[in-house]
Amino acid sequence: MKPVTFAIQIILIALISWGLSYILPWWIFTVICFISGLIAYQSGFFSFLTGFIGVGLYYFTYSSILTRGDNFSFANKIGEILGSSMNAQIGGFTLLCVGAVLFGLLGGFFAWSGTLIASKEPSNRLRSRRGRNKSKGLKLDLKRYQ
Amino acid sequence: MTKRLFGIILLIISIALTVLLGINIGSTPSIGKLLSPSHGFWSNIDLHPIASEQIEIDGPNGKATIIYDENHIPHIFADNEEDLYYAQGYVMAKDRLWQMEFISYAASGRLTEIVGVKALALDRYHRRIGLKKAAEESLPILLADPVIEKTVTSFTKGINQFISEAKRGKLPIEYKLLGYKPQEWKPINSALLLKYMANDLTGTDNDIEYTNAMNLLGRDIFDILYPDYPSQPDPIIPLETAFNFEALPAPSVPSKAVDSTAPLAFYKNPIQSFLPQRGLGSNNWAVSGTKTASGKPILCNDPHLGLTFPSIWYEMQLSAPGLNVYGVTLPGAPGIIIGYNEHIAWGVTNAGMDVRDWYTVERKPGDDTKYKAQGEWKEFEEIQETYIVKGGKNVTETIKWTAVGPVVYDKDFSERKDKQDLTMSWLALKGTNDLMAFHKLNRAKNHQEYLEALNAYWCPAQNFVYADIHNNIAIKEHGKFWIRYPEQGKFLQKLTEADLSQIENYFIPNNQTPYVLNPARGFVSSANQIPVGKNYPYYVLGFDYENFRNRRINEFLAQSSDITVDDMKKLQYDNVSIHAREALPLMLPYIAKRKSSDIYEKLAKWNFVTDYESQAASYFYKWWEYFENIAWDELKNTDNASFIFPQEYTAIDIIKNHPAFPLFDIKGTQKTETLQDVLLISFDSTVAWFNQHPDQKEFRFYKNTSIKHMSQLEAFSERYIKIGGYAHIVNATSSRWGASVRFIIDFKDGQVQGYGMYPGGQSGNPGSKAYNSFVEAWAEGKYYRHQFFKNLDEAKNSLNSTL
Repeated sequence: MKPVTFAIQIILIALISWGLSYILPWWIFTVICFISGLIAYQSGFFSFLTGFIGVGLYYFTYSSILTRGDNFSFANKIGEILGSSMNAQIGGFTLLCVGAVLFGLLGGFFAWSGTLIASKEPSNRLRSRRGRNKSKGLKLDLKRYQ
Repeated sequence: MTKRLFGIILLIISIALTVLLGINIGSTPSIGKLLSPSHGFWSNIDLHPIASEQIEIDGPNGKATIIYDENHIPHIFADNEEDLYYAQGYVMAKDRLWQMEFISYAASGRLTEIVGVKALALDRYHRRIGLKKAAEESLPILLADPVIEKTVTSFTKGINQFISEAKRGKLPIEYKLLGYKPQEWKPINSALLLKYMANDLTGTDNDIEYTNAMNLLGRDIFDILYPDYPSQPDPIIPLETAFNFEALPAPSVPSKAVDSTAPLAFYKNPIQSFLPQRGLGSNNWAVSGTKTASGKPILCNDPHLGLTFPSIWYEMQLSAPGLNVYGVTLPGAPGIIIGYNEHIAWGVTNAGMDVRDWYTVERKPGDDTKYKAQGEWKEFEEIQETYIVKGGKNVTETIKWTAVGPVVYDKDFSERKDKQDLTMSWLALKGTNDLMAFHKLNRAKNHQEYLEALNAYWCPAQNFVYADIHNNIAIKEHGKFWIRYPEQGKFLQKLTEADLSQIENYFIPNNQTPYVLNPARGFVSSANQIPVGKNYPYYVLGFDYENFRNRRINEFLAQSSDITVDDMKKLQYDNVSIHAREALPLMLPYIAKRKSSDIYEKLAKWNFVTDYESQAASYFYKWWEYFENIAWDELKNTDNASFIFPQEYTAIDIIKNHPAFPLFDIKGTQKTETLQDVLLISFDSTVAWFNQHPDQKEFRFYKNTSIKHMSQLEAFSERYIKIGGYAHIVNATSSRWGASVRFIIDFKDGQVQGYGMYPGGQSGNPGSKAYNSFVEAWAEGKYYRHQFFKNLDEAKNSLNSTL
């Protein structure tokens, strides 16, 4: 993991997902995460985290802004409606967390699948760099055992 | 390689998950879309405070300016009527789109397209009573009138402008929860809405129930239970009023007219569960300057309708050259339905005259396509109806029509074993241009123009109350009414004996419907009671005449002088139960041996005021409910037949005058019960019930006044509202009904000043503050002052002063 690019990637996913959601369908964040996974620097699990945290951040922050001042009263009602079919009481804040996690998971999966699909592409700048690192490590190991 | 394969598999799974979240599954909407911050429910949260603001929109010809006042009531100003109605359609849709469209789905029997198979029975009912066909027949009539055509077309364009914006931006939450999108608005939707209201207000009759009761009990008992005329009449037109016109002759009684003693089969009314409840109604009155403190008239109106979210009314001001009108309208209808302009004010209550008759149909033996009428075999008109069922298979059925109307039930829509076809003749099913009446009322300047406006009106017949700046008051029960022979329409009739031309066009002429101008008593009023005394030359048949509220209103107005707006507020909020005041003193002596009971004591001390905290009110109404159910046990619906209980005021008459009435005997017991037995048993049941339900002693919890969201979503509804009143009380707030708006129009100083309140809010969005902003004040009987601006400048000044 590279802390700086990791953070930048999360923020970019959050911002672009938010910005494009106004004009494009609700699932546009999945495309953004997938592309980000394809081109980004992170390895498997961290790639998942960029999508998960980035989308979760977008969801959590934006929804919180939308419900500020209304103190979750409308979200509570929607929670009541969604919960009634399952005989459960879902609070507005719970709904916010569930939404953030659900959307975050989707984002994470898409980012991760992007990274995995890009991993064997020799033409991919990022993959080949990581490949170099790996072979370096191997050499070191070999030296130790020689 | 394996990594990449894993990546592709993960991608496929992720896409599958997204698709799964993105589609509607059965009645579950797209969860992904619903939860999305930008597309889902979060974006329906409207944090705008309810405050004055100004917007401008581009109409077909030019700009329309809309000033929202501090109650979110729009005041629309335009240079011409096309822009005006365009803007009206636009702002109405902006606040109420889902409601408007939902009603048109309901009226045309298409709810299955939105909610699936659970709405099929209701949809079939709505199509079988012919609402869709009636709207389809009204449409060309509306559009053939150039004035109405222009109005409806501009209004439609405005709604569609908003729909296209909403589709790009924010749809009302109900679309997201039910998983569908608004369709293009069509003029027929407005026609459907009007027919839907006609059904709400005239879709009741007792033909089948009365026929069953007559067959079961015989003429003598029947006449005591269901008199045409109440024993203490206080009609809309004062009893002393003379009718100085030459009446048309009543039709002759057919040779084999309904012989109600003939052994007709017992008819069960399979649509009873869909019928509007009894006890709904409305009040209106106007007081002349001779009785007011200001010397000028005051007009009041509070129509009682189902309490729903979004509210049934939308309030607004419409202003263009030659027109300046303020009031409420039904979302989906152009113009103003109840309101006032600078010259006159008008209000409506429902006329209780029966305008729906049922006929038994004789089919040609061996030929199902023909029926007998007017002595010959005629061919049924057959209409194929298809119901598109969301998440299910389409359903198709054929509905047959006779010359008088639809065969509402036959072998395909009946629970009866012998499958008797019944066809229905109903004045609401005519193609009509009722909008023209409101169009003219909006512009009327004097009482002549008010009368002229009403000539265009057909159904649902209303009591149009009137007052003007020239100090006139008037009331007219108007709409189309059949001229009938005595008791025609009270029972099932035989289509073979019907006079088709009478049904088609033998009506009370427009200038002979019940009417009074400036009566000597100084006020006019109506509360759904019988319209006239026995001196009216036509036979009058009601389906549910009130006889308590009207007497309370009239006793209040007769006793009052120097009346002010505050007095009128008190009367609209009056919780005195005449029902209890007349029944209790008759009932209590029979149960004197229960004197020591706490409930007896509270009832004996009660002042008959049904405040929401009252316990006595709960005790009385529960006791009455048990009393009715035990006394009229013979009249409970069975699997084979439907019945109706007599009116409460008739029951009081029977307690008073017929203590040995045979129906007091309880069916299936050895003993012959008396009135006293019935009252004791019902009282003891009441005591036992409240022992089991101590939390429902307070009247508010007993009656549970609730305002329900039209989709029945509890989360968008309100329960246990703190308001008194009940059925047959001026403040007629029962469990699901109440004053749908309260209006008071004061002509003090020759100006027009309105006051109002309604149980809801201007916005239909449950995420907006304006969704229910009026509810609390409505329950407390408070009012806001209408802002009726003379012109745009005055409106702008007012806006600036509040900013």
